[in-house]
Amino acid sequence: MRTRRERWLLWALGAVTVLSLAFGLAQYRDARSARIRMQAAQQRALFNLVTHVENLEASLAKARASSSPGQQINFLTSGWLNCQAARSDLSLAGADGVDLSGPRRFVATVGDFALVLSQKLARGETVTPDEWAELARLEEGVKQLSGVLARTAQASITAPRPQRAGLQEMAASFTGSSQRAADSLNHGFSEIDQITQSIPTPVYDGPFSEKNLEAQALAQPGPLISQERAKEIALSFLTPGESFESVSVGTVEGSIPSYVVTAKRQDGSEVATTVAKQGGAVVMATDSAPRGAGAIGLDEARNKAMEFLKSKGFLSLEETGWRKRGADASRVVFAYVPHTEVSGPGGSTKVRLYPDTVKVEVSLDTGAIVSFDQMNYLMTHGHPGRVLRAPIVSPAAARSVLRPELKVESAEPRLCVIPILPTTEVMAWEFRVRSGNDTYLVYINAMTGKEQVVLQLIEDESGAMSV
Amino acid sequence: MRIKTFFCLCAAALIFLSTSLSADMPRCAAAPQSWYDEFELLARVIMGEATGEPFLGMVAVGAVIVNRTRDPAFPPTIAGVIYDPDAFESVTNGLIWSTTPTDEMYRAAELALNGYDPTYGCTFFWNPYKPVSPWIWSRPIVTQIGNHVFAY
Repeated sequence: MRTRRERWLLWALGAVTVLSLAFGLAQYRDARSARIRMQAAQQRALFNLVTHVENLEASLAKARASSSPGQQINFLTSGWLNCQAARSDLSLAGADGVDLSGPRRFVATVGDFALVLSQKLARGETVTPDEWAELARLEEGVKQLSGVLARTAQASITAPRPQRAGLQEMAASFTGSSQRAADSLNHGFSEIDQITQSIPTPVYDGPFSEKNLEAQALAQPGPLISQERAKEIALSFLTPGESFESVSVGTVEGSIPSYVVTAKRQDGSEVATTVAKQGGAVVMATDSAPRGAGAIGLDEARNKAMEFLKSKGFLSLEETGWRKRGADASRVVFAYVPHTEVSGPGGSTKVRLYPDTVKVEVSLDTGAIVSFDQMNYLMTHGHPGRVLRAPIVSPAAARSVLRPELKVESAEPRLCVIPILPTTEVMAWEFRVRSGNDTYLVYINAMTGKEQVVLQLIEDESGAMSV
Repeated sequence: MRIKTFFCLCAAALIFLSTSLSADMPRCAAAPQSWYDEFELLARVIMGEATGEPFLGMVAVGAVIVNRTRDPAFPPTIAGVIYDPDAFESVTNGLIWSTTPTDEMYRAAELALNGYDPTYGCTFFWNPYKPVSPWIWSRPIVTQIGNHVFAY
């Protein structure tokens, strides 16, 4: 009997061993297969990167060689598209431990610069000799990058192949060949990083130009306030009179140095209010308390938001749109802009200031204000760099620029200031138009008469959104 | 009888092996679906990176991701930033698919996508109480919210 039991145990042990081995082998195969796929994806990205950077170099060179603005637009746009593709490739082709933010920034800036030049040409403007020279300098950088990338791609092929993973890779590592190949790959990426860091950033006006990336806020009027004063302002802003379990104050530096006052309730929810150190304006505020289903309508919520704004001194804001939020649409965000007037020979005209948007979020259960954001307003409203002049282009002349098949919905276009870049804005006539079932906002530059921006308006029961 | 015992033992061995293995692997309570948009992704990274943080800290993590899409040093889309290799630990270790974000996390994602940015444009955040690359400390710190510092 005992012998039988022992025999059983031996059988069981043998079976478990066989199963474990089979399972381990399957896992090993899966892991190897995953490594192969991962390395293949990385190499594909690397070789695609080489192709896209070579195409970029060719596109920039052809743009400089061409004398036709139409052809130049084609080549510059093609250059921008290759830059976009190269940015995606860079995300997947990187080597361990190498920071690729420099190459990414370089590629994005070259593409941005090419796009800005093509847009200039498309508007009928000319590219200056300095801009062509800047493009030639960037092209030289792209050429250097292309050479190193081609060498790095070759090095990636000589890197240890995933098929050798496991025992063979261990053996290779003893000889040092695996390490050498990996080192050459990392060296290639480090060299790429150094090249791109050494190329000066072009001076131009595009989304990625240094001027726009370092946009600074307008200095706020008023004296510096104390932390205690910031606390008082914060606690009387969104939920005046409410007592909290604890209140803490932190700071945030940057565009508008501020105090951040966080008031916690017993249930763990909090009201966080950011108060500018200079002047004490509330930059933004949010209340995280959980909210119930909607009990009030949109109009009531609109009235609550407007009452709130008036109580905070915003007397002449105009609503520009709303959108419901939350899985059960239990909140609604309203956007508001201020307006001003410009005087011209034909009298004064009201101008909407879109860059100065203020947002207010209302909970539809009680009508409580649950978030407020006037960061944009504080950054741009009253900025001395904003000089508003009477429009040169009349509404009728602006309307004549629209495609004739569009159905204009608004009787009169609206004059407005729209942001083009973080530090650039233009005055434009806004037309709400329809084409088939689609609605668009078309902006015609009020100074040049050229079409500036086209936005598609998506409207549904949750509100409006422009893309 | 022999066969039954054999299968029982085999089953026990398999269960043991599979449970010990899955302990190290993320469990997929909700696998990614094609309809998941950037909002869902953002909420999940907020869950992975900012669980236990104050609400403002959750919004701030979302804002960093949104800010990265506007920085030339990063991919131009929310998905590109989130899936950037080794950019977020919770993506690398699969934590973002381990459970479902809370309402608070979804709201934080909404606010961040709506432009609410308590970090004033930061593109980095880290926990200063955990070991991180010394390089990250060279970034100018703008604010600290909960256990995270935020920097340009």
